[in-house]
Amino acid sequence: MKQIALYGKGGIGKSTTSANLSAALAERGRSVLQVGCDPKHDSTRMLMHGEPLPTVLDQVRERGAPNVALADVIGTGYAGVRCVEAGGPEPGIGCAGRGIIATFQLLEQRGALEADVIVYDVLGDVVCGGFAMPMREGYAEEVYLVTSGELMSLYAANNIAKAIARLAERPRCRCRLAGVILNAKGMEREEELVRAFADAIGARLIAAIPRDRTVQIAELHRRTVVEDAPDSAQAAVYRRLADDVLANTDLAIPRPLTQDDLESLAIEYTAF
Amino acid sequence: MISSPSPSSTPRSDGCTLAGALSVASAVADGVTVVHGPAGCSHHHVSLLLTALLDRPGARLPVLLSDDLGEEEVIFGGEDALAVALDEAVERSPGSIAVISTCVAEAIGDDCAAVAARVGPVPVVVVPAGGFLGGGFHDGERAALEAYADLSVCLPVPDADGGPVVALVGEKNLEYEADSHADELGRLLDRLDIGIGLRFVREAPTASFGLLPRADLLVLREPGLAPVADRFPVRPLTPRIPGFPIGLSATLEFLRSAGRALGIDATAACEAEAAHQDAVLARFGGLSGARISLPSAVPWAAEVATALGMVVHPAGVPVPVPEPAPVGTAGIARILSRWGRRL
Repeated sequence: MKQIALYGKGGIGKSTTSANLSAALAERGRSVLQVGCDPKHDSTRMLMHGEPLPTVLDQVRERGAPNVALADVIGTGYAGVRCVEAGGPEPGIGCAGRGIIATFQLLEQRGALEADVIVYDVLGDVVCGGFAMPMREGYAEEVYLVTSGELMSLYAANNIAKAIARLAERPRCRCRLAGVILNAKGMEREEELVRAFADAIGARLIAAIPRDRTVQIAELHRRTVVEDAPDSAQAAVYRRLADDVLANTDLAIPRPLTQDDLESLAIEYTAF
Repeated sequence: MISSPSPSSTPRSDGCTLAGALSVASAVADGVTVVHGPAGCSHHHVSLLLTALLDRPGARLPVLLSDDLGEEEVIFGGEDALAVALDEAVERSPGSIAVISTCVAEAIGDDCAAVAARVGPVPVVVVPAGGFLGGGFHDGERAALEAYADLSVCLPVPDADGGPVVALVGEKNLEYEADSHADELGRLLDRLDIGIGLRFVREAPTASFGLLPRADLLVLREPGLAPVADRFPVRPLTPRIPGFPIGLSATLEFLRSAGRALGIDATAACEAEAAHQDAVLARFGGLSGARISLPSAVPWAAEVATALGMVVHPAGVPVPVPEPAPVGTAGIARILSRWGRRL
């Protein structure tokens, strides 16, 4: 079983990348479970063709944790991908991080965390220990940083690299950085910058996903690109990413950059 | 880290913030306290309070409720649970309700004040007591005193007897001798023909807190309470005595200070008290000449030893010097009894 997690800044395209990756992995005949770890619970929307999935935490709130069955929270989407959304509290109240921990405990107790590949799609940054849970407790063994060439996106990716480096010091922690995925914004020299960032933190740029209109069109159709435009160049990119993820054994403890080094790197590749 | 804990090496001020806040809130005679946190927090502190009350037969049992926060409340917020607990508290028709938050409630950012604002018509005070924010027992105690002081301006001024209002502030409610100390201050003030108008906060009903803004003299339990008193809604330049009197001369000075503050000539009171002190010392005249050792920097103990003609020497018999120190002349009498037993 391969357990991977995609982390990155909010709005950078983690959910789109995760869903297309899961779809492509499923097309390769793998059993796939995608777990959305974001209170806004839209990670699996394209896989589920827009059908809203009851979140684990909504079910816990309505029924109480002991009464939640897997059938209540797991949906089956495109190509048989099993989908789960952790959900979370209303904005501005409670502790979403603790909600992630509770979700994982419930899924594990119910025996749900079984598949050839489990894809965890985790909220933006490592905002608290709860969101580091997939890495800390051995659920996510391979972490992919999804980033564009924008400084704030790189900053978030670097922060996650810091979390991985810190967690990797713990004897029982198996979490490692598996690579960087560029989800491009179309900036000048963007791929060069993100590749240089990956090199600098001791990781590999595993995919460069171009900005492409097929993504927006597929979203309007409530489908992944892999399903909506299967013959497109963009779908081919996601399938190549799936192959690379399956073959990837290059796992590392990252060397996060200082703020100054990160900014210097961004300046070096930015056209003024 | 304390490698060999003992009563003397155990920090006395760094305990749980919640315990400090509870020590005040549970001393409101007609109050109900709601602990906004896991049930275990309440249980631990109820046990502590009950243990303290064991030495006071017939003492009132404080009403403490917990809203029993569990994991679901942590994830989704505990404000609804607090609202339910507050409804239960209101049903008991208390004079006031104290909401004391705990570490977990502060960590998830529950807005206790907003929930409390929806409660009526019972007055509610909110005391943040998340110890992880860096506070300790005294911080909780002081936060609770400030909360009740803020409430005091919203209360009608109770009928008073027309004399000056002397308010005792910040009595240590978990202290074994708390009432003895107050009795002693009452005895001393009686020499000036005045009484204690308000015990803020010890076994006092909520309505009595309305006297605080019109207090004529604040007697603080200890100087560390000065920053708290600075924030009290009292009249400008309201006189205060910084601490309960510790030692023979300090007790006489207490009378002089109270007299000055209230415009009363304390000469006769001081003379009578000095004579009383002489009589007390005479009762322990057998201790004269005894060799004792004292911890350094305890002036009240050295003063007593000198007054009795005792010899203070490092090789002398170690005698107990309690902390907190005994209050007033009565406190000195109690400590001399203990010294006598040791010698």
